[in-house]
Amino acid sequence: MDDAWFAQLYEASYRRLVVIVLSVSSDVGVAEEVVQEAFLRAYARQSRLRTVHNPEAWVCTVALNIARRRRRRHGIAMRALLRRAGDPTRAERPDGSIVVDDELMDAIAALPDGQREAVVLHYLADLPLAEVAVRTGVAEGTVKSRLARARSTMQQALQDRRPHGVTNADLLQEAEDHG
Amino acid sequence: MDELDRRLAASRDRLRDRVTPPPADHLIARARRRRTQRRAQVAVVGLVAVLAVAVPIASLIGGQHRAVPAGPPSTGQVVTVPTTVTVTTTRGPSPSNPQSGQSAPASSGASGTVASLAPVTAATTIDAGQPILGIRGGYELFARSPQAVARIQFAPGRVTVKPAPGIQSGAGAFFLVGPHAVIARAWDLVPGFLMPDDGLATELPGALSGGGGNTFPGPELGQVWVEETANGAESGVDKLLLVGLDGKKTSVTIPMSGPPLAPDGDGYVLVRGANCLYDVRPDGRTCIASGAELDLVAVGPTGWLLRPCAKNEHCTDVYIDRRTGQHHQTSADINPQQWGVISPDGAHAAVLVPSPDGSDASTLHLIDLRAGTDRTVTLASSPDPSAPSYGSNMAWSPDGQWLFLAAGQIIAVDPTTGHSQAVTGIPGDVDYIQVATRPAPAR
Repeated sequence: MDDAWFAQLYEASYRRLVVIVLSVSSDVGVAEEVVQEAFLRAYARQSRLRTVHNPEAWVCTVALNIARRRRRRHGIAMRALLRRAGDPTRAERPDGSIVVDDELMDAIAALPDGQREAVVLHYLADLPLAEVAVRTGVAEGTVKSRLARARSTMQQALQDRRPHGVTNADLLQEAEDHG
Repeated sequence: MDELDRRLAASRDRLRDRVTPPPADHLIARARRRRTQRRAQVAVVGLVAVLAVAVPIASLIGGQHRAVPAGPPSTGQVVTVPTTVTVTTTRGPSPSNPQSGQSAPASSGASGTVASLAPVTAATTIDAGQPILGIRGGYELFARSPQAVARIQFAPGRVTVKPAPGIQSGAGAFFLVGPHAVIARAWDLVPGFLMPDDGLATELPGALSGGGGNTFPGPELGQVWVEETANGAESGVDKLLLVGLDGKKTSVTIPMSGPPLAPDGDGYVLVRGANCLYDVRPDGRTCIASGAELDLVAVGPTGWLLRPCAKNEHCTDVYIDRRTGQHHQTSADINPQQWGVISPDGAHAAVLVPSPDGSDASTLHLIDLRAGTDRTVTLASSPDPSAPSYGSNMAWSPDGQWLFLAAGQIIAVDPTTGHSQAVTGIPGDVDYIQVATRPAPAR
C-alpha cells in the first residue's frame, strides 16, 4: 500500500473533516475520534478509496455516517456537551484539550438538525453556500433561510442568561432524570 | 460584524488552529494492527466452521482415515480456441501512435506481470469456423490488456487481437464499447485510445481527448458521459456531457455539483446525496434509496443491489427493481471494494470480493436476484480487486447466460451452475484486465 499517499490525504483533510463532523457531533473530542475512525476504515479500503474522484469526500461521508450512528446510540449531542460540566470558566482545560466558545456551541447544538448542519458547515468549516447545499442535499436558497433562522435562534439563546446558581452538572442531572 | 459573527469567527479560527491530527504513522500503525486482528478473527471463525463440518462427517464414516483425492479446481475446464483453420496477420504499428505494438507496463495494480509475456506486435485474426464455447448468440466480447485488445466473435469462432498502447496511469482506465469501436480512457490525464473494428489504435478524438475523470456508458451504444469541470471549481465536476465515440459532443448534458458515484446501469449515473442515493438523468433525479449507511454493491439495466444497514448495524444486500421500485431482500451481505454487475435480464448479480489474506484467489458471488440466494465461486485465477477497473473486470453476455471475467486469462462463468471455464489459445499470450460485450454489428 502507498502509505505516503494515504498520510498526505490524512494530514491535508483531518482538520477540515473534524469541523465538518461537528455538524453532527457538536463535540470536538468526539469529532476527532470519529474522523480517526473514518481514516482507519479508509486505510482498510484504500484500494477503493483510490478509485473515487474525491477521496476526502469519501472519508467525510464515512465520518458523518459514524457520527450519526454514534449520535443515535448515545443520545442527543446536547447531553454530550453537558457532560463537559465543571468547566465554568470556558477556558482551556488543564489537559490542554480544546475548548471552544461553549455558550455558542450550546446554542448551535440546540438548533434543529438542518440549521445546525448549515451553521457548522458555513461558519465553522468555512464552506461556501453552494457546497453546503451540495453536502446537505438542499437548494442554496434553503441553506440561506436555514442560516437566517439559526442566527435568530442563536442570538436569542446567547442573550438569555441562565438562572444564577444553575450549573451544567445540574442540567446534566436534569436531562438524565428526564431521559 | 455583530457579536454572533465575531464569536463564530473566533470559534472557527480556534478550531482551525488547535485541531491537530495525531501523527499519520500512528494512525497507520493502528490500522495495520486492526487488520491483523481481523485476519486472526477470520482464521479462527474459519477453523471453527471447518471443525463444525468435519467432525460430524468423520463420525459418519466411522473414523476411518482415507486419502481423499483433491477435487477439480474451480477454474478447471479450459476451452481452447481452435487455431488450425485460418490465420490472417496484419503487421505494422498504428500510424498515429508509435507506441502501438510495444510492450507497455500495466496500469497500477493490474494483475500478473507483463514483462514475461510475449508482446502483441501485429493484428492477428484466428478464424476457427465454429462457435467458441458453443455460443451461437449474436454478441461479441472485447478484452483489454496493457498491450492489446482482443475481439472475440463467438458464433463464427473468430478472434482478432490487435496491439494497443499501454495506458500508463496509476488510476486505471475505463473500457467502453461502441457499435464499431472500443475506447480506453484514463481516469487521469494520461492519453487513452480508440480502437476501430476495422483499423488499428488511434488517439481519442475530439471531446474524448482531453480531461479525464469518470467516463460512463451513455443511453445508446457508442455514447459516453464525460465530466466537464468549471475553471477553478475546487469540487470538480459541474456537468456531464454526452459524447459519441467519434468525439463529437451532443447537446445533452446533466448538471452536476460534484462527481457521479457510478453508472446507473441504464445509460445514466448514480449520485450520492446527503441522505439519499439518486439516479440522475438530464430531466431530473430520483431518490432510489435513502439512509446514511448505504453502500452500492452492483448495478445493471434492471436495477441496483444496495447494502443498507439498520440501526443495529445489521446489513443485508437488497435488490431494487428499477421498473417497479420494489425491494427484494437477498441472503447476501457483501460490501465490495468496487461495484459489481447485474445481468441484463435482471436474474443475477456478480460481485467480486478479494481474498481476506490478500492472495490471488477471490470469491465471486453470484446472487440469484429472484430467489435471493447467494452462490459463491472461488476463483483460482481472478482479477486483481485492488486494480481500479471501474466495474469493467466483469461483463455479462447480452442474454445473461454467461459472465466473463478478465483475470489475466478470460474466464467464462455459467451463472446458473457457477461452473467456470478459462478461454485460452488466444493469440499473443497477454494479460487481460478488462472486458466489455456488445451485440454483433448489423451486417
